[in-house]
Amino acid sequence: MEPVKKKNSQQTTLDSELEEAEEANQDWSQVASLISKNTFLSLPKRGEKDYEPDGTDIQELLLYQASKAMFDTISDSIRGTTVKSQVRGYYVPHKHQAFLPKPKGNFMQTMGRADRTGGYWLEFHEFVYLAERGTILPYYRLEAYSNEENSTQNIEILLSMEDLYSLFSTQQEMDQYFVFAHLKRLGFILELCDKDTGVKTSFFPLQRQRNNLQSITCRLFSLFKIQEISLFSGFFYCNWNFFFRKYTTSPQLYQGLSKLIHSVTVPKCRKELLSARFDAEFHQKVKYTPVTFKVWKPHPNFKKGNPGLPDFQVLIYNKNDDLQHFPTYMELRSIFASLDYKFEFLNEVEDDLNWDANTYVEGIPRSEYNHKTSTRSSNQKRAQSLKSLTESSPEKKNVQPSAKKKSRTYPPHIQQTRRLKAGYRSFILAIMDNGLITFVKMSEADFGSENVWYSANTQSKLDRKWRKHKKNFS
Amino acid sequence: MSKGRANQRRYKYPLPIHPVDELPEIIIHNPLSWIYWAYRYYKSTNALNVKIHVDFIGDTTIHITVKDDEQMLYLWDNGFFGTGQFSRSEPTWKARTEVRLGLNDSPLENRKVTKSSPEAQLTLEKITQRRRLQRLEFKKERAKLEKELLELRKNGGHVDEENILLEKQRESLRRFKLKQTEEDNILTLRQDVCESNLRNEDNDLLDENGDLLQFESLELMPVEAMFLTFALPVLDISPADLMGKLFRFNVKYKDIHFFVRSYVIYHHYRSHGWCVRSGIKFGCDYLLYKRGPPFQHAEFCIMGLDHDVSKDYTWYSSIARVVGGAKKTFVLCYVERLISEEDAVALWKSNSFAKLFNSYQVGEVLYKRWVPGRNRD
Repeated sequence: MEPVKKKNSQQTTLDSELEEAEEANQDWSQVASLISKNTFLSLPKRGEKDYEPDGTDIQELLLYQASKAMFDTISDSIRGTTVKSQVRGYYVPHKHQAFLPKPKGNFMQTMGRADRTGGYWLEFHEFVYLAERGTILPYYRLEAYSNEENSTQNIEILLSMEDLYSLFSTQQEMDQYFVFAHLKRLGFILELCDKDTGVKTSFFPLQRQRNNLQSITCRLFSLFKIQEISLFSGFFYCNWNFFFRKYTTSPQLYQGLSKLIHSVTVPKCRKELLSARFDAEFHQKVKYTPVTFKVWKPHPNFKKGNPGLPDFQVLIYNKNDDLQHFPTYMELRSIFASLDYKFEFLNEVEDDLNWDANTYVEGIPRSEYNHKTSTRSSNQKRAQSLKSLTESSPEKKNVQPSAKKKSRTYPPHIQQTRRLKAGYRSFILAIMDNGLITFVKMSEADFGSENVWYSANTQSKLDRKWRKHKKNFS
Repeated sequence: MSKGRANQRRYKYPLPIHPVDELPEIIIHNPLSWIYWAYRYYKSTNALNVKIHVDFIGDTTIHITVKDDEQMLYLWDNGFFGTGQFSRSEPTWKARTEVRLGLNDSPLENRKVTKSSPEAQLTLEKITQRRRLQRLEFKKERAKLEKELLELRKNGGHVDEENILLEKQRESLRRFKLKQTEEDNILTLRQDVCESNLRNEDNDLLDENGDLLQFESLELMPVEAMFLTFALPVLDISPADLMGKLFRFNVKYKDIHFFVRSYVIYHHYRSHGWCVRSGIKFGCDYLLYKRGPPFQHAEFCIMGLDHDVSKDYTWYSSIARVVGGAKKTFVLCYVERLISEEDAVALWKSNSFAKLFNSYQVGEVLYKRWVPGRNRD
């Protein structure tokens, strides 16, 4: 019996998809038992859910115990910050950023940046987030001129949360903050996409200027593409088709059928991604708000200076803003073309893809870059050798994904289903509705290049082939 | 397994046009076999001997129907086209009624050639009905046990006692479920004809010989009918005539736009091997089955959109919720017209449908809810 769970029961029954996420909720009884150090009071961890009041004292008692445990936990914890570890942040209006004279704390690992003079700066959304968490104290600094000493004097005003919120310049910025804070609280690491500081990390090597010959051939090919459409004869569809031609298998019939409708092909492997990048330069007619955040999954060895490719890219869309709309297909395509993240579908397609070798930091492969920086730092001082140790840890990280079951271990038709269901390039769309956020993953799909047609012979043949192939492997 | 095999045989062909696959073997050292092969090859054809007849019913909303018993079944068996008007999808009304009236004690005896397993004798509707009944029984049983638990609580039972009782109850429920599945197997073995309770009206269903009349017909979606006449010559009506029935003579582009878009999407998926059926039950345009409804659940729900259209967000989210709740993948299928509206109408009027459909392009985007908490590692 665990009445605490009751709150969630409605949601979980409604949405089985969320079940796992919901189960990760805080278990207050454990905390309570820690505080009271009294095993008698601790609640049984799991049990049947109680859906409605059954009028018994036992249920009342359980409910009371559970809520008491929660309130005890909350009331016993210490709030506020100690003076010693207090960090002050000063809002700088003309930069719309915050300055931290004496920065310290864990947040420095993922937020803010130091300028050349050693000053530490936070983006405004980071500033509000940390203030809301109680990590830093937000101040507004005014420079006032005092007559007596003939010098400027700084006046510091402590800001309340209301004050801070009023400093958001646009609704869009506020939406950005909500998404940022939501994901940040869950442990993700976020960074604005248009931030032009730090090293530039990209999946694509530096843009080479395309020479004339290339552009001419490209144009020629696109010309052929248009030609292809008008050259279509449609013989399959005329009345005499079955009089002249004989189809001996169903796939032949399908092949005839499938020439009619064109479908958009999407890049499916590394090579295609790279060439699609060049094509994208030609097709940038439709503009949509660019992707807002780069998001990394939480991991302890994250380095602001050299973060690697983000795991996701998030775009924010406010459904109540008349100036914004859900992206159309043309806009979706331009967004897909602009993406630059750790394309997770490549892990399924390519064998043991080495991300460090395929990521370009400042135009050179990341593996080389990592090597360079680590040797430099080890040359500098012994004290910093500790740092280089952590830098070598990305290699450890590379080992991990291979433990996950690779798609290639599945038979072809399952692989196909997985491809169809997962799609290719994708981004996360965060939809804002008056402070509520919902996330949607939009991914490119390509049903046009997959055939699921069935013919008894080919299917059994394929299966046999697959079994043989598997045997050879094992 | 036997059911699967029976289905494999029954639904051998994915399309109503069959490939020429019954050619004799060629024996290399026997030239006679070559000639025989060539003769058979020459004589065989993909086309149907008798095209399927369609009727049109209604004035404002036109229903495209197939009335012949065998042709209805043919369209269903070869690609799962159309829907039986009195059935869920496969036209089974006659067979069900025969069983209900006890007319033909073993109506399925005749069909045994195609259906060998006893399980296949049950129509899909019947199976659903039985499952619902079983579920109801199970819920009753569970409620009974829950009452027991409450009784214990009211009498002031300790938590430990409750846990013991709970464990016991779980075990008994498990046994109950097992019993149900066993019963299920036994029941399927002997057809329950016993529930045939004749009504007076049932006499109207019979002809003078006491045989059941066929009242059900198979209704085709306009896109299905178009596919069966334009892409594959199966129906006894030309594409131009069919469109003439569905649309008035002097069309504007906005009249045909929706149909053309629907057809382009339908044809796109059909031509890549999917079995495409209406998605009305899941709030979308189409459902994609890998092979067909008897084989597996549909895994994809398709919603058609123009490439330059953006709807209110609620539109996307409500469909995605329904589709997601049914554990299917939601696909937004965008259609782009590559020629001008005037050209499209001109092609339509000159009945060059192949050229018309050819000047459309589709692109797909998957829409899936994303839960941050489940994507952290």
